[in-house]
Amino acid sequence: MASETGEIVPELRAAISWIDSRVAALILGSCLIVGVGGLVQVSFGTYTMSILDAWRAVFDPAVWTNPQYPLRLLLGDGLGTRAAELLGFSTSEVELGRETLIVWGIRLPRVLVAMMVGTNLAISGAVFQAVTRNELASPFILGVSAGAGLAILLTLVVFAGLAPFLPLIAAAGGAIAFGLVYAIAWKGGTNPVRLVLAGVIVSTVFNSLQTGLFFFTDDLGVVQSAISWTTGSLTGVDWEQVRIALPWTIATVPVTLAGARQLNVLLLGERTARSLGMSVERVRFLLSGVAVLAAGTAIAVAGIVSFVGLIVPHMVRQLVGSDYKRVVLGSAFAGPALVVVADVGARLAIPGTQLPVGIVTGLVGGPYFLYLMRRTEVGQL
Amino acid sequence: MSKHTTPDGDGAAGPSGETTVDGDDEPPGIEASDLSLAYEPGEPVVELDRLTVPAGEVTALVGPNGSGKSTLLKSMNAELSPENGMVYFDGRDVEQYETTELARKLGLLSQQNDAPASTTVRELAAHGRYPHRGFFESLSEADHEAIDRALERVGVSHLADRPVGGLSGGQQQLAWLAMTFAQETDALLLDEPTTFLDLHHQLRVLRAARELNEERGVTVCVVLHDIGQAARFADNLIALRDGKPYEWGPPDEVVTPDLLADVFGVEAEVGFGPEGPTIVPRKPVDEE
Repeated sequence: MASETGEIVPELRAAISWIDSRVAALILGSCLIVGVGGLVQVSFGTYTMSILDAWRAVFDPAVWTNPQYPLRLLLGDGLGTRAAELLGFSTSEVELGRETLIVWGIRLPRVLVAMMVGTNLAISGAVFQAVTRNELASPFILGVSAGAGLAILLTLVVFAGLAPFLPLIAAAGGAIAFGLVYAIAWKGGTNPVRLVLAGVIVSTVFNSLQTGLFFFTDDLGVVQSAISWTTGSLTGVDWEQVRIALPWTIATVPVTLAGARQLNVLLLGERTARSLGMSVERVRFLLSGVAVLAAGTAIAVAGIVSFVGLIVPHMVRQLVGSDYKRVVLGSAFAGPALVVVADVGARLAIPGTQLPVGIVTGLVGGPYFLYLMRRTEVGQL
Repeated sequence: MSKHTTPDGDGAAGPSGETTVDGDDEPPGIEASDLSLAYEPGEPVVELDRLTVPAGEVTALVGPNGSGKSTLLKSMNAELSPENGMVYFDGRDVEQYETTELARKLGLLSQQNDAPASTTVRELAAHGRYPHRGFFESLSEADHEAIDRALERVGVSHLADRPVGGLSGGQQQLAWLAMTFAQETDALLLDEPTTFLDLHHQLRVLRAARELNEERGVTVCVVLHDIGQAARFADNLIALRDGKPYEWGPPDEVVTPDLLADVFGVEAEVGFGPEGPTIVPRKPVDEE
């Protein structure tokens, strides 16, 4: 808190004083991990190059001096070319080396998607832990994963024709389940306990239905596809997924950060929050909605990646304390670090095959959580 | 403890920037009429014809467990809508206030409080500024001054940067009191603020509330368990029995052996000292 005593410009001081050295160190460390993990990820694979070659490919002047190429990747061919025109860049085709094509075309988007999945799940988990005043809450506590899972199974098994819209349907399924949970919990208002109970009810029923649907398919391919969606996988993600996730991520992170003060007050208990003038129900619903949006974004591009949303806010809280401004900002950076590293494991651990990243986050997350539990008393949110 | 020199400093906009929000200098009173409060329809917990919490004074709600003290307090803060009748705060139906508007005028210290352990005392007190800030506004200079004043009034300035998780129960309660003080309301509701505290901290909580009342004219309504403590501390007592006011008025008039027997179920001697009535409980009245 030493930064609060310094006399800089008052507004500036007030605006950044909460970013203390712990938060700065966490952000820096996370960026470092993402950087190293990302470099490893773009170097190795079926076509392996040295880290140095990968580095050269990432910073290939042929890419950076021809902004139309990254613009096309980021915005899609049509829109990217238009944007390049508008900005006055050349729109000609770019000749690129083999390494650069592999790194930029195939491997880099996977790292970017992993980062966004991490960010969205982490801030979503942070919000739900505050909203439910329950540190064992995850983005999926209010039925989101169960709804998404059921929607995925229904699409793959029953409505196979809708498969191209699977990402959207999965996210929508999660949102519908969340709405159902809220409707069940509502009785002239709601409270954390009723919300969590309603989440359990909806999850139990939806999970049973989802498991039941497995029996109606004898196609192993469908089963594998369903498993990779319901455990969360980044196999085969492309710039298309970057384009899906980026706008939502850009929206949810600042909104959540702005809502952090509300979360801080909500953590004081409903009665106190109310006596301080907060419209508790409205704030709780809106922030939950943003968190569901963030979780839905992650689900749409990667399926249901477990543990990230539970572990990351926890980890961050250990490092920066419980002020939610710090927790949310820290989570937005630490989430990507976890998912990028986990995805390195998922993609490279077993040569010749790729695991769903959700399996790795579970394998890493479980023991880490055990360590946390042993080290601190659970109950200190 | 406090270095404020203006005893009625809640009026004009002094250099401290401490003003009443509604602009008038009169402290707000709380009144209830034909009030019926219930958690389940048709099963009233509190029923009364008329009740006044006088403006600018300290009023204690006393009564045995389950007599409806806290329920009555909830209706004053618009947490519980009356089944019948109305509660008026500063002359207006308390249900008609916007949540934020009410929070700028009426503070509440709840019975059970729980903050994240690593929150510092100052951060906790800063939450008291919530109703005075816009959605995106950060703490202004005036906010910081209000927080400092509150910490000083409650006497926890020296704990300001300590996390509440590391404090004793009594110190934590003082920190929460500082939060409601930082809210700088014209009236304050305290729901059993001294229960579970050691004697030293009980007196510190009550003294801080009393000083706030004397210096700023804040109307205080407090639920207290201990009738002896209430008699020494408050200007008025409201004794509740089974959800009905049994007696109300200044402690000297209210505290009698009959009241102690009827309301609290104890046989007691009541003495009259210069600081109000003293109560020596002897034995419980037999239920039969």
